[in-house]
Amino acid sequence: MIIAHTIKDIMRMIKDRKALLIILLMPAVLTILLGASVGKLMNGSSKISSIPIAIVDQTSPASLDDPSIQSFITQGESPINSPQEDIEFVSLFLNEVLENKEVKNLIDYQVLSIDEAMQLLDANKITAVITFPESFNQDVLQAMVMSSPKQVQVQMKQNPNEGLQNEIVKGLVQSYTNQLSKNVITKNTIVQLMNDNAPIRKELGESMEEAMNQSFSSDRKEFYTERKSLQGLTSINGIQYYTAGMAVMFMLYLASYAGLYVKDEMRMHTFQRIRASKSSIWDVLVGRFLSALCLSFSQLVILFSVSKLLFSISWGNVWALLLIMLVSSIGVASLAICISVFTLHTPKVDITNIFQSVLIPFLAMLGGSFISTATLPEIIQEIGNNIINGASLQAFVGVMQGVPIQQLSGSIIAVLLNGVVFLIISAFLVFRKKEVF
Amino acid sequence: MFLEIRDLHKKFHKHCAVQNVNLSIDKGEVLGLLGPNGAGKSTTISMISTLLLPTDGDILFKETSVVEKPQQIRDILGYVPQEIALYPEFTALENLHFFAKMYKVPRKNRVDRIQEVLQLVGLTDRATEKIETYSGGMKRRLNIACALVHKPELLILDEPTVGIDPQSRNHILQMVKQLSKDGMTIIYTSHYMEEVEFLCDRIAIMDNGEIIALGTKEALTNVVEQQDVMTIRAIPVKTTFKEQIEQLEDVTYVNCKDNSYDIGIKQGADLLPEVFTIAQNLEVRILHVEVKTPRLEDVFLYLTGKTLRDA
Ligand SMILES: Nc1ncnc2c1ncn2[C@@H]1O[C@H](COP(=O)(O)OP(=O)(O)O)[C@@H](O)[C@H]1O
Ligand SMILES: [Mg+2]
Repeated sequence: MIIAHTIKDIMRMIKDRKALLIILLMPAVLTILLGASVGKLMNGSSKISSIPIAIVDQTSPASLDDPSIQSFITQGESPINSPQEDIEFVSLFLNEVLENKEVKNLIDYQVLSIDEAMQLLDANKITAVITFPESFNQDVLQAMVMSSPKQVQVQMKQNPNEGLQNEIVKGLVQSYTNQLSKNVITKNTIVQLMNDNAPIRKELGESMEEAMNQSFSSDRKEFYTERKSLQGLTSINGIQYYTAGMAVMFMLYLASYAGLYVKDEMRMHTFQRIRASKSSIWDVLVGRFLSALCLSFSQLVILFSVSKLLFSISWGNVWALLLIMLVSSIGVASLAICISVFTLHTPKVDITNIFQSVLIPFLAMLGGSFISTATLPEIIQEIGNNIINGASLQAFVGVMQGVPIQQLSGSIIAVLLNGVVFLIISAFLVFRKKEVF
Repeated sequence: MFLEIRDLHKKFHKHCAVQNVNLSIDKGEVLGLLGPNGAGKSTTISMISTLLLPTDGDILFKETSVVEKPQQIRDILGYVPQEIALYPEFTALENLHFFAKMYKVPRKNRVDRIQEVLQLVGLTDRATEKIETYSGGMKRRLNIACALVHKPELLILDEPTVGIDPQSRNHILQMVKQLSKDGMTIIYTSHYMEEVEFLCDRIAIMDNGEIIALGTKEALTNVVEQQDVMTIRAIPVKTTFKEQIEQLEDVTYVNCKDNSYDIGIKQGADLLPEVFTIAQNLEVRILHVEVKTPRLEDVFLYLTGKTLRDA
């Protein structure tokens, strides 16, 4: 019986050519248009062009003479000498991170004085200024040597107009400083440090050796995944972003069609006929939930497949992508139920129309379907990333960037919570108006 | 008692669509519900079909309130809405299959039952066509077929013949007659007197939400037995003519449409000379005069002073 409703609903949509145009053709066309125009802005390539940033190096050399380090190293033994050479973590950042082949595609850097850098930033010539403060080297060294590491601080000034790019730079710097804080840069650095400074190697080396070896393998891996996700970021292009952006926007349209079909069934009186039969309202609603689920899932699969076929976009992990599609479809199906029940409850209000013409564009904007939410004020960003389409979009983009699925659980839960809220509202409306239900 | 309606009321906001309706229907009976548009027939039927809750009163199906236990009557009910309640983008077969599932017709009987009802409504040849392509009459017939797939005990038809060709109408009337012969209990709503006269054992006449007469065809015509109806055609049309005839003793009502006047007169009274005098004084020319004994058609006129069609 429930399946009969599901099949009927699916067949109605499949036979509804206008609906198909809106939920499949429109998002595909918009993806191409938006993706292509954004691609053009990005110097004609569909890849995000390299991001210009400035590095300001205000550091002074680190010294092992620092009293806290001395006391840590000596611990009753003879004091050691200052290192012969400066320990330069900034050049490490430049050489190891920014000169990395993958990152180089993404980021264009120049080392400038603070004044020059700020001038360029004000003139919108660069996206961000990364300033290494004077105490940076010392902080890092301390972090490496001490058992309770100090958080290493780097200052970042960003151009507020460059949402997505800012995120990339921020992510990059964060991953670097995190690694520094965790005592892990590369084995070479440590070894070099040890070589330059025999006493340290002897005294410090032994005490750290064990910890290093223990943590190195796992942390190294983590550093690697961070790098990999940066690499993933480089390949998220306009088409990819808008495939997800339009898919999550038009899945809302699909949900709104539930309301349209309910209204139609009330107008044609087939709904009355069903209600006077042996089928209960719950059969109707569960049937509709399943049909919306199937339709939404198919819609997402089709839209991502079209982009894959036409532009051979990268999907990231296919299973992760399918999981996000399923989760999103559950959210959409719940929304479809909510709209259906509202239509039955208050037929005079044309909820489908309001939803399609006012709410969807608004939600799409808020959720980042047109421009990345990173450009919006933080509080709005927070809302945008937690509404059904915004959270879905975050998850889809994450998957395509190669972010592991565990790290996307926040977005997934947000989508499902949206669904729960829709279902609670539906149940409330059903119990409030017994005559219809 | 198969179905019993007690003091049924339905208010929409302040407007009383149905009031004081009391009816009972025996198993196997065909009850006609007759009344002009807006009389409250569909509202009454919707309450019996559990689609609307009564504002007051109750409907008992086999002694159980359908308000409290709607599922009991739904299980044996075939409801044919006044509208074409079908999915226009589906074929007749698809529609029938869907509603058969709604009525839980067992899978193994489904195909046979669907073929039977298609035969019954004469649509076997067109069964695989989308019903968008159907004529009004064919849609009406399929509309009924969808309510018959599960062999209902009680069939409720709400104006099943509005706006269709005489052939389809005839087909439907014959079909309902046959279903009744096979033992189905039927409530048939219409504003066509002839249909109700042809089909129904008992007739309830509704107007303004109330039942104004209820009984067998014979009992109802008895109400107007003491009446004759004189029909006059006269030109030109003058309201004074109508008014002066109404003034006459022994005239119970005058109903005027175009140049035709239906005049209710006491049986045996001879009013012809008076009518001709009035006509002469007003310079109205009488073209045609006819005096007949009343039919069911005239009952409504007698009770409400209006014909079913102008109401
Ligand atoms: N849902 C409704 N809301 C408000 N008024 C209604 C509604 N349904 C019917 N009515 C009113 O109730 C009266 C009876 O309508 P209905 O039962 O459809 O008459 P019938 O079927 O005899 O033509 C009409 O005046 C109609 O306008
Ligand atoms: Mg009606």
